[in-house]
Amino acid sequence: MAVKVSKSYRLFTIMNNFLLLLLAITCVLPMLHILALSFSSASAVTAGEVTFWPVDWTTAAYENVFGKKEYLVAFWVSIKRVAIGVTINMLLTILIAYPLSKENSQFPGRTIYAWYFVFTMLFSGGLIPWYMIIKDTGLLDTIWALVIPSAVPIFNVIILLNFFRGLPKELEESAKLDGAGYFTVLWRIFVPLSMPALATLLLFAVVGHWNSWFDGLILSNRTEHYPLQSFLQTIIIKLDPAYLTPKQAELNALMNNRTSRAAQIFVAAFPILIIYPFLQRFFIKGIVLGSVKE
Amino acid sequence: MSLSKTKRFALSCMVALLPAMAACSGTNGDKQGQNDATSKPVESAPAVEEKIDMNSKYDPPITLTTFRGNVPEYFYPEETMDKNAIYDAYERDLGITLKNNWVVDSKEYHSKLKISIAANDLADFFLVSAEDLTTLVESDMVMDLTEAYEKYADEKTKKMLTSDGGKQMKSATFNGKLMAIPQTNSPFNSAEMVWVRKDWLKEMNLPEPKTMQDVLAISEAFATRDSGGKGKVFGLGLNKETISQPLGFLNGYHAYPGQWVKDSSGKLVYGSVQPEVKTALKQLQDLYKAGQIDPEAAVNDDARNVEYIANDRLGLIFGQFWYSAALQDAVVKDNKVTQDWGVYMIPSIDDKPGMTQVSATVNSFYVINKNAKNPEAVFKLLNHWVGVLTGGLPAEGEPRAVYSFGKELKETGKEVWAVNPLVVLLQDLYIQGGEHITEALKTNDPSAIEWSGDLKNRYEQLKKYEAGDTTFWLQSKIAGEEGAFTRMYEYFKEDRYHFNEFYGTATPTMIERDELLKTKEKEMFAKIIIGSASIDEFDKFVEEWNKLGGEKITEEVNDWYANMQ
Repeated sequence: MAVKVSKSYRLFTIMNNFLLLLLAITCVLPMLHILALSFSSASAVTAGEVTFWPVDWTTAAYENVFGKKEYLVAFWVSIKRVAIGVTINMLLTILIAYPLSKENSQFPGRTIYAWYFVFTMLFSGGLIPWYMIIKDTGLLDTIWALVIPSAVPIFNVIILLNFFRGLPKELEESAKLDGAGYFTVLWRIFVPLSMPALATLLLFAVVGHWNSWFDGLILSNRTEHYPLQSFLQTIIIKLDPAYLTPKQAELNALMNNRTSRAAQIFVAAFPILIIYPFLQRFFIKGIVLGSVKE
Repeated sequence: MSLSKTKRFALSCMVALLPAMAACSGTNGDKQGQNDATSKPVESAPAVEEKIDMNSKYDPPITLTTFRGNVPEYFYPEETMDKNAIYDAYERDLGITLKNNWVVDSKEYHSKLKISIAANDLADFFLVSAEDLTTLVESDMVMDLTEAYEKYADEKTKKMLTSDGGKQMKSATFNGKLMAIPQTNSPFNSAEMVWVRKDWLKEMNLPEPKTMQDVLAISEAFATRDSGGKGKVFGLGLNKETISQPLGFLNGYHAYPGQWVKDSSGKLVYGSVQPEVKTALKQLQDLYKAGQIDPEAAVNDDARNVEYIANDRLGLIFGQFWYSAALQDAVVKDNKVTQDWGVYMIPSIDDKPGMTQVSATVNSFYVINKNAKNPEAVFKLLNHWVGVLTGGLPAEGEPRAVYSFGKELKETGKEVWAVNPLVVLLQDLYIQGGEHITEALKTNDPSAIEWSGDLKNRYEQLKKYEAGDTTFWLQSKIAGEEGAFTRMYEYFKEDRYHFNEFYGTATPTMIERDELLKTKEKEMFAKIIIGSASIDEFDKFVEEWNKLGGEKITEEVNDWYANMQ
């Protein structure tokens, strides 16, 4: 069916696309710049000749990165962290969102529980108490310190909770009539129906774990236990000049290798870049489905 | 864990009590001893340590815990900060088992340490910054070392730590008590120098920078050069750090920002508020107006200057001895050296010699935890290290070579010595480098520098550079002929190091106001240079500085100075 489109509407669409395209480009350009740096020679980079296309093509930086033991160790820690952390995240999100999506009549005290969770989203004990709890529970310097404190992503719980509420109640009622218990209803009806939403949350969880660096720095007692982003942080930041003796400044200047740093940044971002297109179709559907109610 | 800690503490109290109990008789004495042990466990400890022979080895071995910052480049494969030949050697030779409570990347050391301090989770001994030392002393978390130092540090150690007349030791002294072992280091390393393109000087018939007038002439001439389409050429390089603290340039005008200097009446005054600073800033403002300084200097970091240098857009900059290391990639292209750089001492605007400002204060200290059981063991480490440092170059394969060179027992070019848990450094290493390395190169006889791995390493690199390996170009400008070390030695010979007259710990008003005043100062300097504030604002700044606490600080500093005389 052909709908007649007014001229001004078409103009709006063009402008809209144009602006969004600009926005998209500004997001891609820094990535391209880093990629170009990583494939260029060190002297070209120092001279500032590289913008978006490599100058003096070389893969030396990548050979350096993949030959670097510490980098690979950190990469492996990150993979472990994502595997364990995301599993815990998803399991707990589902288990918490389901009961909380019920009415007060079905689950007395539901509101109190819900506020209990939201409270932790708004207030926290602060850095030092957080650190002391992790230390005193013996989690310090283990992979568990990186996954347990962030085991329940409240924001994700709220999204999923609302999604569950949008599912037709009749489905659950009929399942119950056929003799299903709460767990059967959850795993055989709610979870399969919520795949789009779950894929979205999965993406959030993966990206969140992959990108977080601060906890790794604070909670690891050995550099070998750093996840990748914490490791990257240590090679990218500059030393505070107040702590820098001239001798250290010399060492620093010697290690100033922007091409190698660019390569390490790019390799670290790569896994997420790969995951995105695969999850993206769920991503769009998931947000749309969650927003529409009868 | 906390249970076993209290148990251990109780046990050590009891051990400490024994002699006291033996000496006293009757219930009264017993009570006294108990009071002593509970209220001042630290002071009662030496009673047991009396018997410790500083030269003997602990048997059975004792454990010392510490914190470490890691640099992966230190290690041979398969070695880590926890398990390496040097730690093993301490256990073998001294009976001290070193245990790292944590090891983080050296850049994260100070932030991780802050958390450990806040959580009161401290090792037996560890390195701290000057700032954290004040916190630790104020919250009474570290041991008073006054007596222990007298008793346990041997003669060699004392001689080395006080080789500058005791200034660096003073910076670890609070109210007359030694609270830490300063990580002595060379104050001379922060000397500023003029780095200039020598090939351009020749090409344009310019003199070497012997006076500040020469520097200004060079800057003016360089700014007229054509970079061949790569952009405008600038006369003098500044970046966002140096524009608010142009130390090298100001030193040429006998202005010493941030230092306490003696005025004609013999009182100490603050360098940043002196009239010489105004003159120098005015000159920089003029250079900026004339387009000789990059208009974006106030926001650019030094990488930008290096970029300009790589594109032939800059050929004059003030920097420390290692600046050629930053220039390496800009100068050496395809293994060819494309620019010729010279290093010169800070010149002067008048007939008085130009001096470079350095400070005797130390930035890092070793502290001992108040609850450490074996403080004397830390001094054993210290004595041992000083022995290593001054004991001459060990022969290849000799067991003690491990402390200098790690498990290979010979020079491999790695800075393995830094793995040692307690390291203090010679105060004039690079001056000695300036004195001996070039000579050694000429005569092919490195015996004068054999004792120092650092200098020997530089010597080897210079040999390789002479043989055509351009990856060591940077070293030729640092340690080579007419290089930065030579200049550091010349400064020393001609007595052109300008020391900060104040080297005590921060005074009360300083602790309160220093940060604010420093920020104001830096802002003002940068604003004047880029012309957004007229030079007359400088007088207003001086007034404000005095009002905001500067006057009070000056009083306090002079009180300190009077005490020191």
